[in-house]
Amino acid sequence: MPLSPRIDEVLDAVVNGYDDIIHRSCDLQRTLARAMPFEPARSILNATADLTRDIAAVQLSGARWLLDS
Amino acid sequence: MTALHWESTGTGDPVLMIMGLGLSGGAWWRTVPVLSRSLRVITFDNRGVGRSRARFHSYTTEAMADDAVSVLDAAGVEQAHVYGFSLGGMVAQQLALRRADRVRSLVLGATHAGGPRAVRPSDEVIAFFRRRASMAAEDAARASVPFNYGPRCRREHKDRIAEDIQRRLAHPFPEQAYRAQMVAAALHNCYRRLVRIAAPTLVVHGREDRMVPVANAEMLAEQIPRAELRILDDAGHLYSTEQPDVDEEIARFFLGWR
Repeated sequence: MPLSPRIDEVLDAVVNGYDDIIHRSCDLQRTLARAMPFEPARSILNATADLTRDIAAVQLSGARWLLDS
Repeated sequence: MTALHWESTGTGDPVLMIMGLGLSGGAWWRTVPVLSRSLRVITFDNRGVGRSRARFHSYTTEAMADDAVSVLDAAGVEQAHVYGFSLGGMVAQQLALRRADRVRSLVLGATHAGGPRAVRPSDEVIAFFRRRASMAAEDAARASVPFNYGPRCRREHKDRIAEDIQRRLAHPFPEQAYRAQMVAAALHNCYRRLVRIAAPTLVVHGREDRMVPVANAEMLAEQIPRAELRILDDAGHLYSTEQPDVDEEIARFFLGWR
């Protein structure tokens, strides 16, 4: 059943907000990684940023799929 | 670790080229000589393909867009025109959304926005995509001809198709990378965010495209605020083989947004 336009807008804003948080979180992790003078800490931070981005990408794709359906 | 192979040709305003499913940066071989007459053209092999390596064998278009940003960083480019083709067009959408400050203008070739509103290819094409992952490289290249090229090209330009296949076979790609890129394409979903793309955009598509039906280009052009639509009659998915003059048009589009 289609959602009312108002609920749809709110859900869309929530999803976009989550997207922005993830984006900033990844940027922060990468900034920390660049500042990190030691290995393997730098690689771990970069890998965590990649993982955060990719897990969120799957979640966001699924959420937007539901909103578009 | 992920390591990306990239190349730069020509001088002028930079253009970043992002290639599609299973193809290396070398697959831009028809387009690079035209664009590099007046622009600095940067090509790269997507993760897991050609001379690039991937840390993980699971990709998303978001991850591939971050790779594209890394290539711009390595090339010392702050802002570039971006040309994405097919899966590369999906990556280019993500790039324009995630790093708007890095994209001066955008060309989206033979691509779609993803999600349930994307117009899917026929069952025959989907079955071919699934089969192709396990086919030998040469068999796959030959079997893809009816899906990649329009009827006119298959009739009148067999030589060009043969050249494409020869080039493609010179850079085979691992099955794992192909499957990972298929997953990235399946997960891609930018429809709702297209209205946020601020860059001037040219959407290019062949009317006879069987891989990505042309209705997807119309949808992209409707949703992206500053988009122009260029539909090529008698062209299929690999339109620059079928109508090489379109590369001149794309170069003029980029030069118009200096």
